[in-house]
Amino acid sequence: MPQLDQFTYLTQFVWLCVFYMTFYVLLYNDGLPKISRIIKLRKRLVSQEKVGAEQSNDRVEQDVVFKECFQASANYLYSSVSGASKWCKGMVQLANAHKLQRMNKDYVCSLGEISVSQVIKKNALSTLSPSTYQTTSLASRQTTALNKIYVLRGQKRTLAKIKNGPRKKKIS
Amino acid sequence: MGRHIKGPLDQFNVTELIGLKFDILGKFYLAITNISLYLALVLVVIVSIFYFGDNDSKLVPNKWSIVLETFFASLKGMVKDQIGLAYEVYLPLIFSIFFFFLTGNLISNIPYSFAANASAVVSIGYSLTFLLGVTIISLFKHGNKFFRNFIPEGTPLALVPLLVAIEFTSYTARGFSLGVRMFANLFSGHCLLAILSVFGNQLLSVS
Repeated sequence: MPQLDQFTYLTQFVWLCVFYMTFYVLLYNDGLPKISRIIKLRKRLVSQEKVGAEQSNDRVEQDVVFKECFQASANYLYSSVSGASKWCKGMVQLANAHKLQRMNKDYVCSLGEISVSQVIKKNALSTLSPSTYQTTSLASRQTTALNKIYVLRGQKRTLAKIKNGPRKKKIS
Repeated sequence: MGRHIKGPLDQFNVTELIGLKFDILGKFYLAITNISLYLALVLVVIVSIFYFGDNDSKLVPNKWSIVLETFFASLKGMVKDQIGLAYEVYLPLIFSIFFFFLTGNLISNIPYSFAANASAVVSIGYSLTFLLGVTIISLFKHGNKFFRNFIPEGTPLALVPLLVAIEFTSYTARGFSLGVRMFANLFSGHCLLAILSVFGNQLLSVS
């Protein structure tokens, strides 16, 4: 049987190794990369045309997309609200500075007149009849620190008026 | 009767072709034989298929590149099923074995040609070297865990030595048996073809 001729074994094995190794090296470096590249490229292009590149990106970037969306919406709301409030404040300040200035002055003056008139009345009552001061209803109304200051100022003015009044009478 | 009758086994003779002969140590000798010619022919055929199928990276495939890509896809699917996730490293190996022996066998079907895979050295020698290579790779990769291959799970401790002997012999015999299968098939097939053709000729000829 020719397969059992042992003197041929070395040649057969050596030539097998030589040609098989060249084939393997050629396949590994040239043949298989070319085929696999074309197949992968074609698969990717075909899937993009069909679906619009949705499939591969969906699962991976969902969390990132949601986070970014929520952050963007929250930032937008915050920025719009803060902008609106700033505008309102700016407008109010402008209005108070220019258009409403006189109105503010008159308001403050009227407040001052009302409070000072009350204080003057009270002090006039107190200086003329100190016993009646404590029993009248005016004492229950005005008990704050500002009113005490008004009281002091009113006292000074009424004292000045009272001092000046009887002097004028005496002289005339 | 002076005609030298060729038997059916004479087709497998390894003859030297060009006479380039190297005597190594007087005992072994190396020459360019008909086996080397047919192995070179196998290489040329495969390289030419790849050459024709090289479509310059165009998307629309050639006729030859359709052939190549169907081979590639089917082999890749088969390998992926068997090996699992890290299969791409072993794809060139399986691919090369498949193509080499496929074209060798197909070339031997041409009349008056030579069956390179019908020689014991090519078939059995290849399978034994492949087994050796796989064992070396797995030893390097898994270390001592490689020997867990020989003990099936859940065996009682008394049976372990016997089972290890059985598994070890089956492991080594697998390398030998796979080569023998191909060798026996090709050898018997070509013998049968030769016998049938010779006797058919003698039957049907009028002389």
